[in-house]
Amino acid sequence: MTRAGSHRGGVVMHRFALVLAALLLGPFAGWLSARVMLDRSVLTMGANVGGWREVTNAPDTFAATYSSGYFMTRGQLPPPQHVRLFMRLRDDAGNTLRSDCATQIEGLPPQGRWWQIGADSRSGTRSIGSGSIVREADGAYIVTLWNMVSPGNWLALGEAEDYSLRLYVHDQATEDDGNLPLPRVKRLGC
Amino acid sequence: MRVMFWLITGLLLALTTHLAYVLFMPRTQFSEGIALALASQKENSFNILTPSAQTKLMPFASGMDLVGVCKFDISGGTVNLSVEVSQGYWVFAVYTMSGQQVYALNDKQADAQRFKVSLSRSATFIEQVSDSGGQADTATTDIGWQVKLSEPKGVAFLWMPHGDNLRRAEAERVLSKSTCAAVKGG
Repeated sequence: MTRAGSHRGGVVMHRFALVLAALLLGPFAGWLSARVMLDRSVLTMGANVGGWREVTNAPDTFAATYSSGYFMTRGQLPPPQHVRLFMRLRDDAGNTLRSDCATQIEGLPPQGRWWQIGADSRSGTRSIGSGSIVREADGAYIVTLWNMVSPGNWLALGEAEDYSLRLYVHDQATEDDGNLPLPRVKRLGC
Repeated sequence: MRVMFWLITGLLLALTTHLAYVLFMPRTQFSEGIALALASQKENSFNILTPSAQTKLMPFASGMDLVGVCKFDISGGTVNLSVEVSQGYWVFAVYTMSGQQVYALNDKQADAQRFKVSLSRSATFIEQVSDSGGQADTATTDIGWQVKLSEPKGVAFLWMPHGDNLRRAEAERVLSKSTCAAVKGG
């Protein structure tokens, strides 16, 4: 093969690689970004209030497409629009929430007609609501999340696994975020 | 220039794939999830869910809550829901199979422990243009609330949170009187 022929072959290969990259990498990047955004956007898009992220579920908003998609891809109904939903994956110190570590949630009840705290993991959802939660003398509540039996309000988690925390507030009495007390989350030990 | 062309083509393909996935994949998975979770439920009938089914389907519900569901199909005509609830906080909502919430009602808004909701198809553009007097609307004015849907299939549910199992049992007895049925000739 002559030098000119070899050069021409190299150019053809270069062009072929470019076309292949555009036709394969483009759709792959689109697919991957869609999956990641549907899975993670609820925990990154909303306003950060004390470590909690509010999930936007107002209709016809850019963020709602991803937040409702988050539930729908799991075969779940997205929360009704009158519900305010807050989520988090880490405690106040930044540790990942794990079922084999005792974690305590402490706060004042939000002003809503109904509220509920839930731990969501691969093994299922455990939750405790305003109707059954036991409160302290000052009205505050403390909930322990662990895979071992704990006194007081306890959410029994599954074997060692990561989980996310959810706080649902139904028919909030006020629209003012400053009046919505979001609980603190701290790890007691592993 | 040629490199730029293929770069832009790649970006456009990425954007198209991203939008197609985000807009259509959740709907497909949602429909499959609902069909699987409510596989034992007949269409156009009202059923009370088991605690495990309701926490699987509704992440905002706990196992102690009470959830009644009607998987409806209005392609054959109007479907009427007659719901009876005990006193307390409850939410009634209608979702289409694409996951859109199209209607919601709570105990304060309804101010009643028995209510009726009629689910029917919204008029298409051609039907709106050819409609002479809105006869279809006046024919069902005594039904209670009317919900017009652009999709034939969906899920209507009544969710009532509870703090204890004693109250749940009583609420379940009342809610079990609820019905969901297609109107003959509707």
